[in-house]
Amino acid sequence: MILTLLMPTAGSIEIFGKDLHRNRSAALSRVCGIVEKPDFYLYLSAYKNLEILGSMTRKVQREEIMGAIEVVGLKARAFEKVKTFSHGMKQRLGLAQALLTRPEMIILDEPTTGLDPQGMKEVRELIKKLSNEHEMTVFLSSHLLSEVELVATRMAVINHGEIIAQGSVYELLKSEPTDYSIQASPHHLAIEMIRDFPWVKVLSTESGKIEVRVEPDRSSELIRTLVTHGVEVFSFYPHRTLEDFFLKITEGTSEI
Amino acid sequence: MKLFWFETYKTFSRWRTYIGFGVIALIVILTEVVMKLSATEILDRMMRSMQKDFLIFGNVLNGWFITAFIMNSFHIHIPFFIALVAGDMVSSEATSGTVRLLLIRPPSRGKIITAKYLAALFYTTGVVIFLGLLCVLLGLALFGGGDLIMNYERQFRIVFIPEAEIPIRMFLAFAAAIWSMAVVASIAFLFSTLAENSIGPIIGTMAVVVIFFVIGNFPFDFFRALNPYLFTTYMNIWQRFLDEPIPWREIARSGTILGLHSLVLFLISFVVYRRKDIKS
Repeated sequence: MILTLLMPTAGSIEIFGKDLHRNRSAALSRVCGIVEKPDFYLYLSAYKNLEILGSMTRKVQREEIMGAIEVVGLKARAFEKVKTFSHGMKQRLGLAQALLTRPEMIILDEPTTGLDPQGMKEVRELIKKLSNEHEMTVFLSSHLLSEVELVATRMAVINHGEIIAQGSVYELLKSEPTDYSIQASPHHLAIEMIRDFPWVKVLSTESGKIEVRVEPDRSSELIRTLVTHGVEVFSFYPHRTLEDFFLKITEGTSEI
Repeated sequence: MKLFWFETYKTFSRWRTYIGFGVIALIVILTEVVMKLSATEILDRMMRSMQKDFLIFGNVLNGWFITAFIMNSFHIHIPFFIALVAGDMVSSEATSGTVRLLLIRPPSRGKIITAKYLAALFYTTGVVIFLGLLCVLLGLALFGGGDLIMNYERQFRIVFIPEAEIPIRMFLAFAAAIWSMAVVASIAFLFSTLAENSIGPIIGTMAVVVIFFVIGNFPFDFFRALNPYLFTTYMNIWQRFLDEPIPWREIARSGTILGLHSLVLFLISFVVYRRKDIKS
């Protein structure tokens, strides 16, 4: 609906303060997007696809097109027909076409669907690059919560069409007690010390690891205490995931 | 204008666009070469009925006559080639998924659909002009020029057009052929707007054209009564420019009816496309 592919039956949408229905052209000239997978004209080259799609937003020069293709690492294939491209390459070309229009906001809907782990990583890095180097706001819609956690700075959880949580990813996750894995030596001493903390709950002590639950704010205090009492801490990492958070806040509901 | 150029570029970047041109070239060349080789036999058959009452001199089987002859036999072929491209114009974007990238751009859907429709008309024009030029140029090269004698046997009429008048009349005839083929393009375009794949619009358009032609030619009163309501009745408008005298009033009426068909079909496509939800 934000990209006008679906017509709203009620309500209105504003982009950068402009009513999408009344000022469609002005509103969309500052936005670009990829809905699920970017499908291009397979019988045209990557360059020609970008020229056509980019020129629909503004006048684009050859150098700009080549620049956008270079950013996504497809310069060597710029003049080859898109039908020879892999899914991952099309996804990167999708980001190039988004980049070319110089939008202030890019809307990405499930951008890593169907990609292999390497492709997913590349797309994630490109998204971060667009945000950090090109100062674009990336509006990412995804069911892959690990992806959201790796890429997003702010998030909103929509359940049954309503936002039930929103804020910075860090703050939202910090608000909940988190499980940690600790590897420390001597093992028995570490366990004894940890058990003495009333604000730490020991979950398990098997396989040389100590699993604990602690408020995120007090995790540094736990590490410091262990170290100052002669315990060597080899690793201390959280099991906290966005998925856990998500499942917790949507508990009892099935449709997202 | 920019959108129209892009649509035209996309259309002419696909191999299926050239099927029509290729087949037309093949048929025209084959027909004209065969006619050249069998010229005596054809001339004999043509003249058999006329020679009883008239003395005919000169080059009767000339390039202009060949052009009119071939044009008469393209009632179904040309609509098929037009449906092949116009029927694919909108639906192919849905099939390939490119519609999602296209419709999130600032230009309105109205502008995009208008550009696509104009590109379909441009292709239609191109096909008819290609047919006309090939017929005339190859015809004149193989058979030479001369006055045009059209024998309308069913109407017991013979029309004689002096050669000096033929080029302008042929030009008008081809313009009228483009006008009538625009209706076929508009039907295919509308079906393309409604469908998510290209096969349906192409078959649907051909079904409409063939059924209307068949109904229009049934020798029964019931079907004759339907004739004024079938657009195919008016599609032979181009032939009227090779009549004597030129029936301007009939041409204007047929042209208006065909034009209204194209306009209404396009307007329906326009409204449908503007309201269409893109779900996949």
